[in-house]
Amino acid sequence: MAADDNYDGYLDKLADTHSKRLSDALEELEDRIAAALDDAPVKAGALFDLEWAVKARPELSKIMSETYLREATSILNDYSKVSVKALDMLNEYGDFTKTSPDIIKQLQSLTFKGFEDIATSHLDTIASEVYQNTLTGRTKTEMVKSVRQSVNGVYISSDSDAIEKLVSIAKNGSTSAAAAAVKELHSVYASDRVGGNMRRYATQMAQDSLMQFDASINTQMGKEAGIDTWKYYGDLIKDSRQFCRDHVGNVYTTAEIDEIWQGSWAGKSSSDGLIARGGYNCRHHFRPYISDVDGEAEEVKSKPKPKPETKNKLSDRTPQLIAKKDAIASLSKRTKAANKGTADRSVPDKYIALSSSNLPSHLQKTLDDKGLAGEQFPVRFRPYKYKRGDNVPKMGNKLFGTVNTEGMSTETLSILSQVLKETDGISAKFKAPPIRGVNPSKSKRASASMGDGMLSVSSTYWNPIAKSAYQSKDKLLADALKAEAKRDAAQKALTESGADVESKYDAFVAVRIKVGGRAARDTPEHKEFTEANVRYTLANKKMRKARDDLDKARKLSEPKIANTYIKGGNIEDRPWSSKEFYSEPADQFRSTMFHEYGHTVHQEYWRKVSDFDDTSFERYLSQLFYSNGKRSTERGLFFPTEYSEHNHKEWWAENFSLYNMGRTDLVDKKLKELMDEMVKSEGRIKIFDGWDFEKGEYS
Amino acid sequence: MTEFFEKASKLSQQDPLPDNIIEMLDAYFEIIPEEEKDKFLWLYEGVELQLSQMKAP
Repeated sequence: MAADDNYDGYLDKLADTHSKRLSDALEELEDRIAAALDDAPVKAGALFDLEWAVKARPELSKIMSETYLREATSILNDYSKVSVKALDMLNEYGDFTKTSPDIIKQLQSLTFKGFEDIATSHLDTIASEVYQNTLTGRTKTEMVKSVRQSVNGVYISSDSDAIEKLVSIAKNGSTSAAAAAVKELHSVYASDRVGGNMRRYATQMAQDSLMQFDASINTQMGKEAGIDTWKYYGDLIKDSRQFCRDHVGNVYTTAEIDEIWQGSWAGKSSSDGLIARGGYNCRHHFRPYISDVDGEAEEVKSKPKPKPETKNKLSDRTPQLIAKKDAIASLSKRTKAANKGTADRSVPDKYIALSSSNLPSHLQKTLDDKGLAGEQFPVRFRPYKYKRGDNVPKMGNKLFGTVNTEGMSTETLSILSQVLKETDGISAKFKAPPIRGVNPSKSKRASASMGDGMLSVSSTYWNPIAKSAYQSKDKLLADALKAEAKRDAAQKALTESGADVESKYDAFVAVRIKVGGRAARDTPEHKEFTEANVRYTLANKKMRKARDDLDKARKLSEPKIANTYIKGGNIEDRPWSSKEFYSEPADQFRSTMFHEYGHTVHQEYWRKVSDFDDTSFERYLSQLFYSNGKRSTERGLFFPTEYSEHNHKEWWAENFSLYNMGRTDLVDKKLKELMDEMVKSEGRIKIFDGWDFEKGEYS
Repeated sequence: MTEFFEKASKLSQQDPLPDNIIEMLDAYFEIIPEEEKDKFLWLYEGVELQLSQMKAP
């Protein structure tokens, strides 16, 4: 094995060991903090002593130093060994000089600062939890719980809300739900002990700092030896970024690295490409490369000419950005045209109207009684903004053919208006009614949903993704850097605010000793202390928001990698959903909307006015998918994504999306035959696989 | 896939769905790691499809 490969393996192993050691230290930290908080004074079971709450901070700080920071220091001691190993590796290729101990010391000190920042940030949050719990007179158990949450889920402010929700279900839910919630509560705590966000941040820091240390000493030793060419090396794994896949194994000059890394990576974790490499969590490295002595010169791939990035270049898959009003006008025109009905079930691509001769007499009477007969459509799904007691048929019919784009950005609307054109095309191909309305998401979290031909789109989810389709990598990276600077500023403000609370509290205590507890409440010191607390709470809120914003911005700035799973490949490599087969944001959007339109197909194809529970199409899918009430494993069905295993409708929608995205290679054999048949047929198919779609039974 | 994600996924495949399925999903959503959240949204999508479907008159 080549010396650099050996060294790469050594670094990977060491990074894993460091992560494990830090995780163990976090376990100890959590237990010790919980034990320290057990000393909190209580009155009638409630916390009350604010003085104790403020004074707990030094003890918490001590525990932080003795566990997490002690382990961080110990980890940094390994860095000297890394420099020796790096030198051994480089000397296989040339003659290099050892990095001076002073430089190593400086690098260790810089890295320690990073670990320390994480400790400070967490200490602030934990101290705040202790103070807030005492202020609100909660029980000791509640405080310990919330602090445990803070330790391992400090970046998720709502963690304790999640537990509260489970508690509420345990108290008020149905018998089975309550039992499940009680069981889950135990697991929730157990899971948090294993590690949440603090572990994520700290272990990422352990990995990134080791790799950056290695990058720094390699660069230093190379430059010291007067070398200007560098080999990018390391193993490629499933999750390797496309950026690393493109460059690994290649040799570049410093100037070329500056040019390539300027676009995508400069400043991501360092402004120097030699240090930044593939960004956060990257396990690839640069080493000095000497062409005439490097034993692997012939193995090195020919150097590709780096392509300068075109700013704001749109991908071919991304539609042209259009004005919001034009996009809305286009959507409205399409949905209005789509909202056509027919009483004649032999007409496939229209919605079936209530005047159908197939309407059962009791339904017809109900409609007549309610004055709903005529051009009305049967409504099978709760309309947007439905509330208990609403008149569903009227409400649904009022919305059919309309467009409500509230909250959707220009970018989202530009892509949506193009995708609606495409689904119209698909509807004609499949002889199913087109999408006949758009509204904001009904659910607070689903990215999209579908019912009765009405498409729901979540602007919260899609706006940032759609925006990234129209922005250069440079801009996305700049946004991430801006968010990082905001987070740093918020962190600084929070730390200062914490110190301010402490000093105001000390002043207040001094006055209280002098004038007594009751009188102290009317003093300026008490007022200042109270105001400082309010400022601290606000600073904490700002900090959490800045951290969430940074997470989102980082997510958008990272290159998207398409899943490469193919039929017959390792099932473990399968993506969760079909949109993961695409790297372009517009394609991810398109794939999701095709999935949603797939639901319209199973909901509307050969649908009868009287169909409520399941349509004939859905029954066909169901009997194919299930066997004895469970997903069939004996019929050789293929599930291209994990989500496609969920139920027969999602199985169809996932396959339908892949089929229409041109990935027929990933579609289940039986469903592909069915889709081919639907497309080929002039009208709707009546019988397929022995199933009579019109009658809804085997013929 | 974390244990919580798996549990939520199984829960959302129950037939019939529990009455408080959305509350349960919300609770799981809060406690799963950040990197699983995007995938988790599909569970809401699937559940939404079933919950919004009216019962036969």
